[in-house]
Amino acid sequence: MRIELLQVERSFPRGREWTAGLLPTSLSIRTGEFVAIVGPSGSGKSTLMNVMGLLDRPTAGSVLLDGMDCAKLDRNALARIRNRRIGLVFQAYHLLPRQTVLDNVELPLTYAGMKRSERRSRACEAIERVKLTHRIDQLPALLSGGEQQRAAIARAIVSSPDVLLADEPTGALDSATGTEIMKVLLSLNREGRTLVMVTHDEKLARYASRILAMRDGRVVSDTAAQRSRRIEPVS
Amino acid sequence: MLGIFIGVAAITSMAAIGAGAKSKVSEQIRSFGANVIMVNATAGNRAGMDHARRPLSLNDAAAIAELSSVRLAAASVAGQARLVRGGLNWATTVNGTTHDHFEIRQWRLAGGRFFTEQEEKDAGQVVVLGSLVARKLFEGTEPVGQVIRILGAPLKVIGVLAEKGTSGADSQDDVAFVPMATAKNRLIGSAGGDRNAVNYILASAASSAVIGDATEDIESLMRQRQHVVNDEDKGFRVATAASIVAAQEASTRTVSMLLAAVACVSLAVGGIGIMNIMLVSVTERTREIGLRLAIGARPRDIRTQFVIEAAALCTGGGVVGVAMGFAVASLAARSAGWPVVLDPATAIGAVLFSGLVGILFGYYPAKRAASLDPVAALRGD
Repeated sequence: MRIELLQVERSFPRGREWTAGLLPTSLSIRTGEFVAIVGPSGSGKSTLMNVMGLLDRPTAGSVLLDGMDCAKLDRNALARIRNRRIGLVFQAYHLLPRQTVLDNVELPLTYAGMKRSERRSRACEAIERVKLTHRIDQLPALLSGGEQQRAAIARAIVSSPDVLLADEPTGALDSATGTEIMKVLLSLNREGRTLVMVTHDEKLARYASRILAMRDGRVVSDTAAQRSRRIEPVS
Repeated sequence: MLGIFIGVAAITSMAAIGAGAKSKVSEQIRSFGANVIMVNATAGNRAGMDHARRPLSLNDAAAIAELSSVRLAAASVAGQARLVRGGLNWATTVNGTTHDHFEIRQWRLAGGRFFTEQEEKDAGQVVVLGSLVARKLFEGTEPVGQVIRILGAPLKVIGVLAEKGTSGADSQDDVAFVPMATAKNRLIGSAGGDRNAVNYILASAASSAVIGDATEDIESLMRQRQHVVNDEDKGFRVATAASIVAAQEASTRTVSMLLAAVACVSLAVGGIGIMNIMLVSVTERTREIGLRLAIGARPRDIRTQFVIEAAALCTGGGVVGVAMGFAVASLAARSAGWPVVLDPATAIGAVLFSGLVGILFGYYPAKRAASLDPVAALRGD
């Protein structure tokens, strides 16, 4: 899926004034690209990500997905796109604590109105994909951080989205586990999914084909990176 | 939650007590005879002074029987007397009456027969016993054909009545019947010293549809016969089984209204409690709501989820409430001597109603959950 931002701006009310989280920005991400967004905290990385993921509406400008302007869509239509075409991965995993890994992974399919048996088999496939089948019936609290993040990735890919948006996916993990997660994301990218990842880890950013550096709410550099060859994707 | 318990308990016990009282009342009407109209003599009262009671007479009964809306009328005299058989005795109400009385009250025989016309005319020394009296005096042996004594007079038992059960506190089967003439000549004497005087007259309407007409006809006939000019002169009262129990029903209704008021208040309180629980739950689960929205739940899905949770909570409370209400109703019914009637439909209805309260009071918290902004909710604020 092609993501285009046209003069997108997002500002937040702070008392009587408005603080800019994201200054007017235009950019385009092609299908299958792996884009890393780097920058210090407060630079607008997450705001940009939320706007791309249709979680947040820009205060001005428009977001185009495959040429379709999302500004005109209502909450239900946005929910539908998030459900079927965008996979979100968060730093804090956001797994539901009282549901098993399988139930957590199934959740997006439930909202898509899919039948139970098909939900089951798709969720199992997704869990297999992140190599978590041995943990399928366990509650998230019993899993290690890396395993929880893999469960969250399984949930993100279960409805076969075109785009994966990962907001600091390794932020809460040690570097070895972070590398594991990175491998999983990379392999998903190699299958043709567009991957956008927010990180402040320069090392991880080097896996990306393109790096957007942000500062004070604007993109200060947009460079095609030399993709690192050190990590081979898991097959 | 407690409010839901109490509210549903009040609804359930209200329904159960109401139904119990109603079944009691209709049982009374049925055992008394739905078509039965009773004429009693009452003391007239003029200017605050009681004056002599004008007794009802055999002629009154005969005149009532002539009315087109009345099928049968039977005069009765009644008195307390001790019945003796060998070493056993039993005090009961002895009624002197006619064969029509049995017809009107729809007494059935368990054995033997009723009076013959000849016995009625000749003051035959015969008696028909209620089942309770027969049991007390004969202790399982066959009463029909035996002789008992009432006030020294020997009377032959010719029939035993089938059991009717209780009416209010009294057993209707604690009774004995003798022919009118027998009662007047040998046992009770005449009411008010008049040969023709009787204590009360029972009549049955031509059909249950005309019971109102029959009651009015008897009322106006008796007014004529007694030359009543104003109500204070009236020396009689016409009542039906339905009118007698109507008063009882009214008091039951008062209890029902009270319970309904308790139910309304506690359900409202309970509903607000549920709303509070749900609002807290929405706050505590902000991240979960944010996540659900992020992965594609529509606001409508979130709203439905929380409304269902509130409804489930209330329905659970409703089930407990029904159990409590049934316990309360059982206690009340036992102390009042009513049967306990818990209609399954009422129980289900009460549970469903509490679910409805959940939906009603869960809607606002659910709507709030659904309108959360996913980004803010995911951050947890």
